[in-house]
Formats: sequence, structure tokens, C-alpha cells
Amino acid sequence: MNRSQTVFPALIFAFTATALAVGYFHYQYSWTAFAFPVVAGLVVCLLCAIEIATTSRRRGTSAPRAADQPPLSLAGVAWLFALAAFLYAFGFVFGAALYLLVCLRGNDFSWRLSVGTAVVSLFATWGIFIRVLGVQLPLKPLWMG
Amino acid sequence: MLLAALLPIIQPIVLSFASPENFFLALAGIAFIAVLSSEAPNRGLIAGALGIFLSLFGYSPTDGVPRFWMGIDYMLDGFRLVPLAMGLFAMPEILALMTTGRSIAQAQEMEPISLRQVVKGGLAVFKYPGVFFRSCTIGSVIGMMPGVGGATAPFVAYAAAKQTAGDPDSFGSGRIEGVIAPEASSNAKEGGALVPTLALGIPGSASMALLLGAFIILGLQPGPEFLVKHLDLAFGAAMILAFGNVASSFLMFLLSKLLIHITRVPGHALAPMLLVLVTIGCYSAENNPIDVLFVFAFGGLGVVMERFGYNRPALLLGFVLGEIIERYYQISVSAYGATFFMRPISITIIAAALLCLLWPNRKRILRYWGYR
Repeated sequence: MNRSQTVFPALIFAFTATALAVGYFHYQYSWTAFAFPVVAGLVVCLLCAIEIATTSRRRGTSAPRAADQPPLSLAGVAWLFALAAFLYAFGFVFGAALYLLVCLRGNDFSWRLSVGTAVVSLFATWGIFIRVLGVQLPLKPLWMG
Repeated sequence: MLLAALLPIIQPIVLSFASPENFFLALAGIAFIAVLSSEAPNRGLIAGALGIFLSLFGYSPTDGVPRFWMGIDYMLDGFRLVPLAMGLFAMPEILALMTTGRSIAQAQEMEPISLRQVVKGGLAVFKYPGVFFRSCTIGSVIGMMPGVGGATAPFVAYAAAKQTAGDPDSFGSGRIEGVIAPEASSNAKEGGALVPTLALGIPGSASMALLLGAFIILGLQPGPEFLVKHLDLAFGAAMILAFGNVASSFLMFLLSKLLIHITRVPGHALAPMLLVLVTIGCYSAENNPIDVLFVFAFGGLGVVMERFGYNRPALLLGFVLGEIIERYYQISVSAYGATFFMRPISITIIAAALLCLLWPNRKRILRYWGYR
């Protein structure tokens, strides 16, 4: 049995059960508003319980999973989530450009390519998205409100 | 002509589909995707059911009560579709590119794109006429069903193509039938949706609802008499639809040689650029920075689901159809009582869905459950 495979359905079970419990005990929804979520939530919980039970009693076999998956790298995850920090700290226009500059340089691309990409990003976000398409991307850092 | 020929046949069928039938049809659509497109049927069903449950956050469609909003204003409208779709599908791919650093197409696989290859790709559809016509039929029929939503058509067509293929396990590794089926049904569903829109005045999809509105603004009332009085307009609408598909295909032919270069960009460079585009796209949908946070949250969910073999399209489809399913459920209970599922057409749909789901997959299901 692979314990890690039971964690995900257990988390879904916990999330759904908690949402239903909050709805019933805290918000005290009327039956009209709550009937369908209860049915859907109970189905999710039931299916998760079946999955946990099935995975637990299956020994020595790996559960089906997508093939050709590269192992997760912490660096990759960190680069991914770093964008959120850049956007929060510097806004969408400058944050995105700065993120591209740092990310490309951090992955050993040349200064020329990194700076060029950042400049193109500035042009695209400010020139195309804001000026041409009229998307209201925040110029100011998000922490400034 | 097709509209006129189909009218006497489809009118009683479409009009006999009340809310219980639409409820079961939408549920059956999700169950099909969950079971047929997944190696692990139970995990597919979990994904589909979770998608429905996530769609229930926010204002209730029937009485306006905000559900599970946890005191967060953003959650009054529930989870949004764009961050969910981007997070589930784009983020795992971006993370894979970021992790490996490889380009989408490997250097040794790259060949210069010739006109001959483009034409060969275009003609591939004629090599698989069965897949093509079956997918078109699936798309047309689903498109004709008002309220079900054409979103299910490509998934059902893909699942049907996979199920009828000699070696279904090879789907997902570049088989052309896996492209032909969803694309054919996706285009055909719009044509199918045109039938009830013009012939009955019942829009078969969101885009057809817009078309209906435009006709009404112009003083035209789609319905049974529309085909008699304005057959030219009906033909015009059908021809525009066909021409639009041909024109967009032609444009893609022209751009294909240019777009192929994207697949040669190293993963470490392509991933951050895609990530920036994804976040800006998500923000642009509602100008709400919280959407961007949810892209990352759903991205985490997408990565875990991909790793453990949970069916992401089933979750998305459940989320898209969840609100419709609840609305039909509420109407069905109000109109027909708790035994709304006892209507003859509903029973037929349930029986057909169960038969189609369980019979062809009996060995796979038994193998998965370890009773072999």
C-alpha cells in the first residue's frame, strides 16, 4: 500500500466534510439552499471513502497515474510561486518584467536575452494590454492598495 | 434543408425533455467523462463530483443564499471558471517545463515543416471517416439538447473514439484520432445548437442565446414558423457557421509554420513567459487580483491530480455543469416531487448511461478494484 495515495482523497474528504459541517452548524442553511450541496458533498465523501479503502487493501501494486512525469523539483515550484511575490511587490507591469529578468538570468540565460524579454514584457503589458486592449492592469504594487 | 427535415423529428424529442431529463443527461455526461477518460474510474468520479461540489460555493441559483463563503467577499460569487481552468491545466504543464527545462519538442524530433506535412495533417480526417462522422453526430446531437451545454461534446466524442479504438491505451501519446474526435464534435455542436435555436426558438448554447437575442432585437422571432418565413436567414446562419470554420482552419494552416517555433523554445525560458501570460489573462477576466491567487491554488490541485491520476477534465466539466445540474434538480423536485427520476425518459437515460458505462468497462473496473 502506498500511503501517499490515500492522503489526497483523505484531504478531499476532510475539505468536503468540513464545508458541509460549517454549512449545517455555523451558517444553518435552509433545506432548500443546502439539499443539493449535501447530496453532492456526501457523494464526494462516499467516493473518497471507497478510494481510501480500495487503496489501503491493494498491496504491492502501484495505483494508476500519468506516465512520463518528471519528478517535482523544489526549484521549479519556487520559480513558479515567485511570480506571485513579484506581482504583489511590484505590480503587474513592472513585477512581470522583473520576474522574467530574474527568472531567465537565474536559469543561466544571457543578459541580452533576459533584458530583452523583460523589455518586451513591459511593452506587451503596458503597450498592448493596458493601452490597446484597455485591460486595467495595476501599475502600482498590490500592497499599496 | 437539414433544419427543415429534422424539425418534425426533433420537435417532439426536444420538447419532451423536461428538467429531470436534462438533470440526468448532464450527470451522465460527467460520469461518462469521469469513467471513460480515466485509468481509475473511481478517481474520475471523485474528480467529477468534486467539480460539482466546488461549483456550489457562492450564491445559490434558486434562492440567492450565499453558501460556504467563509466571510470572504470574493467567495460570494463562488470559485471562478478562468482561474480554475488555468490552474488545473496550464500550471502543471508550466511546472513540468520549469522542472525539466526541455523544450516541448525535442531537438532530434524536429523536422522542418513542409507544405506536404501540413496538407497531410489536414487530410488525416479523411483517413478516419468513422471517427469523423461519429464525432460530428455526437456533437450535433449534444448541441441540439438545450440546456445541457455543448461543453460536454468534445469530451464525449474523445471518450467514444478512445473506447472504440483497437488500443485505447495509446490515446494521449499523439494519436490523430484524439485530435479529430474532439475538434469535429466541437465544430458540429454549434451546427446542432442552431437547429433548436432557429426551429424551436430554444437556444442550445450560450452563443446561440446571443444569436437568438440578436434575432429578437431585429424583430425576428425564431420558432417553428421561422423556417417557413425566413428560410434564407436560416441558410445564411448555417453557411456563416460553415464558412467561419473553414476560414479559421485556413488561417491556422497559414500560421502553423510560425507557431511551430514556440515548441523549440527551452522550457526554462518558455515557462516564465507562459506563467506571466496566464496570470495576466486571469486578472483580465474580472480585474481581480484574488483570481491570480486562485490560479496558484488550483495549480497546486492540478499538479496533485495529475500526479495521482485524477481526471482533471471531469473536475472542470463538473464545475461548468454544476450550477445547471443544481438548477434542474431544484426545478425537478419542485415540479415533480422526490420521485422525479421515475419519469419514463429519465429511467431510459439512467439505464442507457449505466449500460454504456459499465458493460464495455466491466473488465477494467474489476481489474481496478482488484477482484481479478
